[in-house]
Amino acid sequence: MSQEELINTISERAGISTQTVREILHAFAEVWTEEILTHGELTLDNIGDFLIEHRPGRKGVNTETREVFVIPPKDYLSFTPAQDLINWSNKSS
Amino acid sequence: MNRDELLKRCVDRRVAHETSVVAVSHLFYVYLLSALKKGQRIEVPKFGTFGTHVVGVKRQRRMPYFEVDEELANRVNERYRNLKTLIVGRYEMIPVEGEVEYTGKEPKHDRLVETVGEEIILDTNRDITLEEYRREEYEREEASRTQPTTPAAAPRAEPPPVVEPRAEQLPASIEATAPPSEPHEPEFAAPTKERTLMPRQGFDLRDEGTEEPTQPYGEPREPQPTLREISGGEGPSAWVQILLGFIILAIITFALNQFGVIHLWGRRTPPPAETLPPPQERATITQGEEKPAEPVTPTPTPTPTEEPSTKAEVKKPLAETPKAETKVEPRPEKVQPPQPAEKAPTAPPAGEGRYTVQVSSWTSPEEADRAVARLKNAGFEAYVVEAFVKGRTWYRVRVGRFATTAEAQEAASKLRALNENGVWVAKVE
Repeated sequence: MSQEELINTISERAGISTQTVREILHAFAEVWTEEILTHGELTLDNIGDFLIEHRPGRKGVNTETREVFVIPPKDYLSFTPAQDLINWSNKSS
Repeated sequence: MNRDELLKRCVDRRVAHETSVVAVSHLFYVYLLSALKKGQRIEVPKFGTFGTHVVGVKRQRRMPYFEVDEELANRVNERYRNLKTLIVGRYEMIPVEGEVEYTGKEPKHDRLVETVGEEIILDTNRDITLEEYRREEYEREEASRTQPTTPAAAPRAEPPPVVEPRAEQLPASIEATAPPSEPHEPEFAAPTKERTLMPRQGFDLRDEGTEEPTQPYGEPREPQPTLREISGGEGPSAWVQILLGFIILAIITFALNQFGVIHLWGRRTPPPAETLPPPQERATITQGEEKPAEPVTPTPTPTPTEEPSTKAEVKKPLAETPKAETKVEPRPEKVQPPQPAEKAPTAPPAGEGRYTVQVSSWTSPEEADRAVARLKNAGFEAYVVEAFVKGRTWYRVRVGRFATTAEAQEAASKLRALNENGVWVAKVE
């Protein structure tokens, strides 16, 4: 389900304009993003944990050209699904 | 963060009415869970995409995952966003001398050749970035460069304060005293500006720093000699000299080739071999004086007289010597290289036919003579023709002369019956 489909579906179901739904979803994303950037982690109940992790720089070798290069460090966002979400995903209807 | 806290913070932003926010939040969670249960993907704008993938082999199950939106990933990775991979070296194979003993492990013949100059290893404990490392390295170089120059720069800075009070005391002589101090300032200021703008890689600033103090302060710099002055003033340049050298070498080579000292295009058929008479004729000439009359007789009727002349030459030694020696005789005659060359044009078989049968072709005259002897024993009139093809001399073994191709084909079929391979009808040149 793409974001446009999600917005249209919610607007039809709730009887709200798509513009309002889009703004509300954007507000959700902004709140979550601020929480992640300020605290470095975010826990959504029954969904999972978001955590900023650091991957240090390291050396790599291109096996074809045999060139040695330095891969720069990186901060990335990891997601650990909650156990309830895993159980829900595997729940047979 | 639970749902109530999310709703509270969204309402504080005054995006929409609280009821709308609650309704959208509720529906969003409902659709998210239903999509994950169905194994579908659901995309949250400006945040990411939730989905599930199947994991496990024996006991397969769905595992939810989250793909971060690119914009959010860039905001998370703000510190290292502009860093890129940097090539610092390359592995090259080390040539192994001698035999390599098999140890069961992969041999390590690699050698790291550094291209940057020094290997950059990021210290993960200090959490240093590549930019910080470069900045530190640059500052380190700057510090090492400025240390040797600072003691030398201190005496340089002394003279200007001495000059300035003089200028204040004698304002009329400012113009006269100023010129000696002027050349010092640009010399002192120019290198520092260049150093700050100079690219860091590919230059060793320490070497330049050590070179400059050798120049005494205050003395005018001597102009560096140009390339033309080093090479000797107004003489021809190096390219012209090289070109003249090549021309002289080409002339010498051409002259040597003309005089026959060297053979650039290979040796051709030796001309003296054609001028020399064959040893048979020499023997006949020395034995009797009847032979000089022979060249006179064949001239009116060339075709019939040539046959007896050649046969007479061959038969005469046969008649004089026993039969056992006749087989031996051709060998010493044919071992001499010039003989087949002369024998071919001078001793063609009977007839003036345009066609002949070529049996074989050899690069060595001995092989050709053996083939001719074998064919003659079989009753064919074989002879050798010398040909010069692509820089090599070939000795063609041919049989007879025929007026038509049909006759030549008959002879060729007879030769094929003798297990002679590669027999074909050729046209006489």
